[in-house]
Amino acid sequence: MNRLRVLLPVAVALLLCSAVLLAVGVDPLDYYAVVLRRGLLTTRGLQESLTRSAPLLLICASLLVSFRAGLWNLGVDGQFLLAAVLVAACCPLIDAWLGRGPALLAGLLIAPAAGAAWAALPAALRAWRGINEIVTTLMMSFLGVSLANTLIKLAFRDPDTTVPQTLTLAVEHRLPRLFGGTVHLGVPLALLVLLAVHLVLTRTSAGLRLRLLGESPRAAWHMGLAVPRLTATALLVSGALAGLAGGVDMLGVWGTMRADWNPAYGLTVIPVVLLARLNGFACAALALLLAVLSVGSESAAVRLGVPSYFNLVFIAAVLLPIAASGIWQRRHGR
Amino acid sequence: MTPPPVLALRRADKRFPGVIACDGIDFALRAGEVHALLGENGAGKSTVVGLLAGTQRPDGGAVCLDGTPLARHSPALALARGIGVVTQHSVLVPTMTVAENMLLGGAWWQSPARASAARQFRDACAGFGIAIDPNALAGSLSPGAQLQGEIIRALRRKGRVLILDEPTSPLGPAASAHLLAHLRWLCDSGLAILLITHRLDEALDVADRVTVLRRGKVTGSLDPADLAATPRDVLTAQIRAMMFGVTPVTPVTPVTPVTLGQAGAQGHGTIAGQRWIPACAGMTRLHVAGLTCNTLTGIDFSIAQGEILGVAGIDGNGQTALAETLAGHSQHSTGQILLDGTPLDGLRVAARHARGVRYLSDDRIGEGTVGALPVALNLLLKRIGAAPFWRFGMHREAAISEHAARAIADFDIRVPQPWARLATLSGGNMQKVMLARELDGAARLIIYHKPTIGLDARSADAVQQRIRQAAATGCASLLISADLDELLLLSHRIGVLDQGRIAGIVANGPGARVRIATLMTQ
Amino acid sequence: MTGLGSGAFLGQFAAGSLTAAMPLLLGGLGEQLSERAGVLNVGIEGMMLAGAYAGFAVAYSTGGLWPGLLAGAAAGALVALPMLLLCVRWALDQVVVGIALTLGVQGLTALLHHFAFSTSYPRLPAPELWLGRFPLDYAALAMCLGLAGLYRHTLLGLHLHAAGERPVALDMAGISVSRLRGAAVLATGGLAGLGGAYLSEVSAGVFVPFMTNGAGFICIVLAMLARGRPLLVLGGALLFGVSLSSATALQLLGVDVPSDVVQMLPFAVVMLLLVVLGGGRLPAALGVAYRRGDR
Repeated sequence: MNRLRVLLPVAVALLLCSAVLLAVGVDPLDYYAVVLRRGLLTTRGLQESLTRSAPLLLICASLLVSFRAGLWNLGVDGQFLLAAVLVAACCPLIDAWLGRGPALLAGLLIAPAAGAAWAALPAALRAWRGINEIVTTLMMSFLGVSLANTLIKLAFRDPDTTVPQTLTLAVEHRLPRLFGGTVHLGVPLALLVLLAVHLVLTRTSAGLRLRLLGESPRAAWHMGLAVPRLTATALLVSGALAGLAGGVDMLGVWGTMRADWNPAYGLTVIPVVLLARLNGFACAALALLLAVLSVGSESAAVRLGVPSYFNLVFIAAVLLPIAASGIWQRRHGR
Repeated sequence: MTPPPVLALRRADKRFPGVIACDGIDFALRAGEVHALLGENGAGKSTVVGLLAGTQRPDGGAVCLDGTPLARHSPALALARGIGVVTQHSVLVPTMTVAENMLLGGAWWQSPARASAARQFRDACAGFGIAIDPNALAGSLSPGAQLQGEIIRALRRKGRVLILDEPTSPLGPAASAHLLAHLRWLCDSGLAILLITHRLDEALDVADRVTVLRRGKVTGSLDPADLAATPRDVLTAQIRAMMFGVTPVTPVTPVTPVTLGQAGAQGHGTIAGQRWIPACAGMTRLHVAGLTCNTLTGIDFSIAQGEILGVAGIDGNGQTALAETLAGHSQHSTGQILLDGTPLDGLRVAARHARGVRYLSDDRIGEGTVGALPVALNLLLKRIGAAPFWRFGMHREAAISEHAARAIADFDIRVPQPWARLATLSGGNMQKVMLARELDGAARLIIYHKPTIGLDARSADAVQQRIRQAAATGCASLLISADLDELLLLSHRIGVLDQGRIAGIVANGPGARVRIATLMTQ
Repeated sequence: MTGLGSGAFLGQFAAGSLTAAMPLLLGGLGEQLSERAGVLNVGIEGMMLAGAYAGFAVAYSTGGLWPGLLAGAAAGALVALPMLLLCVRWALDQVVVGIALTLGVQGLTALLHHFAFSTSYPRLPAPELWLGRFPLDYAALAMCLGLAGLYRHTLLGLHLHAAGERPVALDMAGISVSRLRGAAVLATGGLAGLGGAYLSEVSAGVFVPFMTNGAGFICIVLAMLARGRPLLVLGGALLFGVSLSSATALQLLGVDVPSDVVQMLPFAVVMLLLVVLGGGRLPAALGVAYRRGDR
């Protein structure tokens, strides 16, 4: 029964996408084969997918914290980009001055601090003024995206490049690669953080406090929790984790940030976390799936001429049937 | 030949996941009759209302109007057919004025005639003998006034059937009596009325016909002839037997003797068939002097160890503010609160809890419990992070389970297993969970806010028993209740709260009821 | 170089601001309708983008702006249809479905654009004006007033309010909550689609993948801040419009400031307003699906 609940939506998604692919004149089987092979079944593809999953895992962790507390942090993109830009600007300088170790360490500290700082205003407004965090985090997100670009263009621009971008952290000075491949240390770190967050949320008193707040703020108040402080903490931690995602992506993969670069992970990860019902393990699995799909579809874009945008269609086609399977589940017991 | 009943259920079945709420129920409402529907919590009364009102669809059987089955019942059709429903929980839009609420349901293109609706409402209120401002936001009214507003709306549509689910719960004694008298008058004019209530006396006072439900089945009914021919106490016993499926239980279980002070030596007296506990004279535990905040003015009282101080009063006279100010949810502006001689002023909820202050909220679902969390955790929500249930912040499942198992056994909570979600419990069992949480060994002052609201007689008995036991261990208790019988049953002294002031404190005993009634209606 | 104070320049600037504000106004009014009725329509970004593509494609192939605008509205409503079925009728999570729809439309329109227009990148001719403005502008301003009247002076307005605050009250009053909310969601789709079509046909004259670029989310914010007052949506949309067009204006003036700086302004102003004035409350049942007889 349960297996059917997962397989049926995926089958529906594959059928829907096949129709679209046929319409644009591509053999769906070819396409799926390329995605699967290049995203998962070759060593290079798998490594690339794992690398791609690092920021997704951390954003999952960020959203888990805020959703668990019943708060909508919809500003992860802004938090991510600002952290990324600060890391990209500072780390090459620290690297040149103090060396690789301090640079990486500083990066891993700057990133969460930047993310948390960008979440601070929405957190304070929500906690002490009761202002809806959907509005404020979205506003701060747009603001953050523009600010990141402005910073690159006006303050942190590498004078030696023609396109506006920050200084570059040399490849060999980025996060250490594992087992001689392309997967960097940030990947296990991200997985570890996500699982730790899951553990804290499900097995500790702090997690129970957040959950109580998320389930019923009035009950939390009645039970004597310091609701404003808890609210602010949850949003700050969420911002910090989103920032960490940006830092890890910079330190592990890119080494430099170009103006107008915005992977907009937030939009794809939000439904994933909700569909995983705030379960850390399910989040990890779905984040990995997202990474495989995005890496695979980029290869397919080159090989079969289907733009990688198709990936978005595919994700939507998976999400909607999975969400819809909730109806079926509701009808049949529980 | 008698005409068919106006509205009836014919062998109606309704199942919810895990529960059979209605199991082949036959039930009929006739014009010109008040029909009382009685039953324990979870007996299926509200489901019957839902089926008749069209908010629930029967899984089997039918809803019949004038003897003909209705194919597709819905709230809209119910309204069109003259079935007015007032549900247990208010269905006014809190952010609209009362008058605007009255206008809901008209043709969409019409312009809302606010002024004339307000005028009509005011007239209707006058006819009902009450005064509610039609231009006030519905959410700003007391629960009792909201309910009265809804009744007026239901009557305004001039229907043939009026269904009232627990209408007297949020009303004070005077307003309840007034409403019941009005119902009698309405039904004499040809309306068919369904009255759901927990209070047996009320039902017998006003009903022409009584039906009793138990676990989704009709376990008995009494027609007008039965009601007229049988003496009141025999009827009461009969109905209780139908409700609980056993031979009638003694309504009041013996009181645990109060051992502190001289109370134990005096024993218990009985006045007018009602037990009462003489005042005890332990050490002063709680002393409140000149307590003033937004809604309270100059509250003075003290409670001795082992004493239960009742607080009577119509809802909305500062009861919630009093409870929350004592428990630390809000702070008073002037005055003093001393617990065993130590001031509590300025301390917040958690700090006061640590000093032994406990507060049993009247809002079971909204704040007292969390439905999505398991029972075992609900039992510990005021002690999150405390040893031995958490160590270094980590859950210790064994300790939590053990604590839950003990509480479940001690308080006779009916739950399949400690980790079941709280939302699966009935109201009575939720109340027991809350009680178990508040009555841990360290309690020194317990504030009970309507501890038996919405509970059936048996659950209420169990809760009242617990309140006495807790007092017997030396806790000071403040019992806020809208139910005067309950206050007289449990309290040593009873204060009356009126517009944020204590109008007076009366020692429980002969004549207390009259004196309290006088204070409340002054 | 044109002088800053010259009348021609100011007129052009105002016109540009209004043109930039129109998609936000249309989308914001639509989102407001949904939110009033208790549906947090997160899919509006997708609906606008669908409208932008369909509007452009139809306008390009028929050569008429009006068929394009109509097609845009229809496309927006079409994207709203799954939202109606899944969220209103079957009570699924409004955020999940809304974002999924947005992602799907983003992918689909980018794909369609890739196969249809990416080699030629056609442009539409400038629209014909009527009294100096595109006629739809007048209609949108009238709609703003009309909606304000509807919310305040019709029972439909009261019903929408009730559906957002306490749907059970509306249901018990004999009005179908799901039908009302469904209609509101469809209307939102239509308005958002129209806004998107305006963006591609009138404001830009081209379709570019992802061209709404978060406009839908700005509409959500506008609607949340304005709550029941359509004139506030107009004010908010104009604020964003002014800042969007001042980026171009500054370039014309030769001021060397990255457009990003100017684009930050409206968001900063909104945040500042929130800090100073504080936000109000949102409808109580916003985002909560209604199912009759739930226990």
